[in-house]
Amino acid sequence: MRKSDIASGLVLTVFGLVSLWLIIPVQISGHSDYGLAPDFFPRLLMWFFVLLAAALAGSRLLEVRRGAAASGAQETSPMEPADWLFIGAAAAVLAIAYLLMEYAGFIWAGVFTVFCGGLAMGNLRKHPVRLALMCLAAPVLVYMVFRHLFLVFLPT
Amino acid sequence: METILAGISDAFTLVNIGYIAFGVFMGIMVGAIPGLNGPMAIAVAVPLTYSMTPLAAVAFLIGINKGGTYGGSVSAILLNTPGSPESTSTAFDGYPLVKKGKGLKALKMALYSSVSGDIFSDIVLFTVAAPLAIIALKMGPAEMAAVFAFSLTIVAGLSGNSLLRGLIAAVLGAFLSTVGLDIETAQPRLTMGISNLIEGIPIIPMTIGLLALSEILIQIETTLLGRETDTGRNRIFSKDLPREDRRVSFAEYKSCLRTIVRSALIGTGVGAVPGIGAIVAGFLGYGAAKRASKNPEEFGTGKLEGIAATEAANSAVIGANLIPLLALGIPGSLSAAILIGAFLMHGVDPGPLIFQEHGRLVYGIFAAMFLANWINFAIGNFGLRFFALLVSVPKAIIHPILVIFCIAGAYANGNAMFSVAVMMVFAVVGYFMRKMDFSFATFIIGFALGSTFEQSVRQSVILFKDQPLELFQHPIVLFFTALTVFSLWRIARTKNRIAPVRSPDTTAPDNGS
Repeated sequence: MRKSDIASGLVLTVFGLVSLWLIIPVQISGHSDYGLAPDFFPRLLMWFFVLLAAALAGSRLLEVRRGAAASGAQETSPMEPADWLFIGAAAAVLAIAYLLMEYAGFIWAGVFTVFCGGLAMGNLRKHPVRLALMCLAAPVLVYMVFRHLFLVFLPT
Repeated sequence: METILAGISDAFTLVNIGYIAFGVFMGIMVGAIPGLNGPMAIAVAVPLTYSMTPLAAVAFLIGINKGGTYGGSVSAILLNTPGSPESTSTAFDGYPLVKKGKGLKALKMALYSSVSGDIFSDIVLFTVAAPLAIIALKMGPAEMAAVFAFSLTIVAGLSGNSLLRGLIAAVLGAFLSTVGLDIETAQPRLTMGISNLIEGIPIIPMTIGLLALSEILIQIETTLLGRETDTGRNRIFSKDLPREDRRVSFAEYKSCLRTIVRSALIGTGVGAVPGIGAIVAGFLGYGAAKRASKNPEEFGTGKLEGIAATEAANSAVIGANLIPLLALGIPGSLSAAILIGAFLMHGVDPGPLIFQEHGRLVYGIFAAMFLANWINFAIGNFGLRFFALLVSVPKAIIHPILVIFCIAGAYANGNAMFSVAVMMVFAVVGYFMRKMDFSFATFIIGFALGSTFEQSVRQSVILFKDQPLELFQHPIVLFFTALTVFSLWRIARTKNRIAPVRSPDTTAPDNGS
């Protein structure tokens, strides 16, 4: 995890510094007429966060400088291009499902989500009928279970 | 005494027994499916408890937890694939027994030892939690802040592969808990102008996203990118098998009793310390049984004692985990952190005052836990065939359907689309956390502890800002501060030593469950 630790440590350090100098001053008042200011604890935590993130990146950089031998597993990148593509597509599917749920209702969002999930799991190629049945039945079944068993009225 | 009896009688209503049974059934079912586990099921089920009484809700969720822990052993034994990570060492001896045609015997031994371990730790919880809460009530904010800092350090250090990454996750979780209104001045903090954030980030949708949906995304990705290895299937319910291979005799149970008690003690001790979790307990129990055995070479070849050791230890964690939660308000594990959300949803604040303010409820929960053990025993025994069948349902069917369950579960938290959005955002965050090996369990525990920790720290700063040296007159503060520093040093030393031989496993849910 050495390379990814360096990268994530640096990204998190920058995030922490941006939070300390841009986000917290804008989003939290630093004034209180009594007691402690509202930004006291978030600032304290964020300073601690920056220190830890910098320590993460720094300690791994030191290891690299010292030339410590890394095992194969340590050097394997945790995010390959295919992973980035996958999570990008998954995030897009979730966003569309959200919009469908808001504007068309849970069942349509469910049909879309089950179809995309089934597609990714290889159902369309191997079991198209099963996928069709899942798309049609599962969202309706979940809707009915929530409505009648848990008294939760999902949007329609 | 009256409170205790009233609490016990509350638990023994037909409705509550029904909810416990439903919870146990759901827990075993979810636990048996590889990749899914008890905490995931609890996270999705919490919003469904809105219409229940506090006792029914908590009993239902504890039922899921108990069932989920045993359920993990079903797929560990039948498929050599642990349904939940704490059952990993159950597979060492369970699967060889399946190969020998003794799968049913292995499943029954797992159930009996799981229930035995559970009962043992519940008894410890009943006897220890209340006295500990009385001690906790005598602690001031400085003492509580020191205890919280120690707990977070332990959780961060022990629930992942890196102390630094664990601490970063815990601090980030605590930082996000500051979103919403300030506890003193009621001024909004970090709300980004979103009115829904005034009340803070809702913990339940966040947990569903981090815990359940992100894991499902990882599993879908594993299948899509062809990284999955097939484990094969075995049939174990053949009627041709001899009767002695399909049951556990009393003599066999008795021969494992010493192992079960040892593992139950280990599991209870591990569970009472925040952050170590059932996975470590399972391995410790298995290791201790192997060391104590006259024939250690037989472990891993299909020895009943191996199954008993793991299952008694990992199940004993469940009850013991509630000791710090009920006595101090500190969630000892992921499940306990989610339970905090459930308690708060029903207007109950877990912590030392719970015994005074909701004594009847607490003793009701204790009785429900005891009841859940026997229901687990009954459902586990009679439903073995069904759960074994469930294990063989393809993931291609289960995962897409689970995604819509997550969406519906998140929406049920306040009937708001905002909860769905929070769940989806944290699913993506959880995906990256798993990939980068940041402990999401620590993150959730940090988030759950955040507001109480902030309160203690702020009160301590106000109390001692003029005379900080007065803190030296508080022995508990000094003790826990020293313990925190010592733990940091010990964990860092141990991690450095084992880091080169450990490889990251992005698909395995991390510790603390």
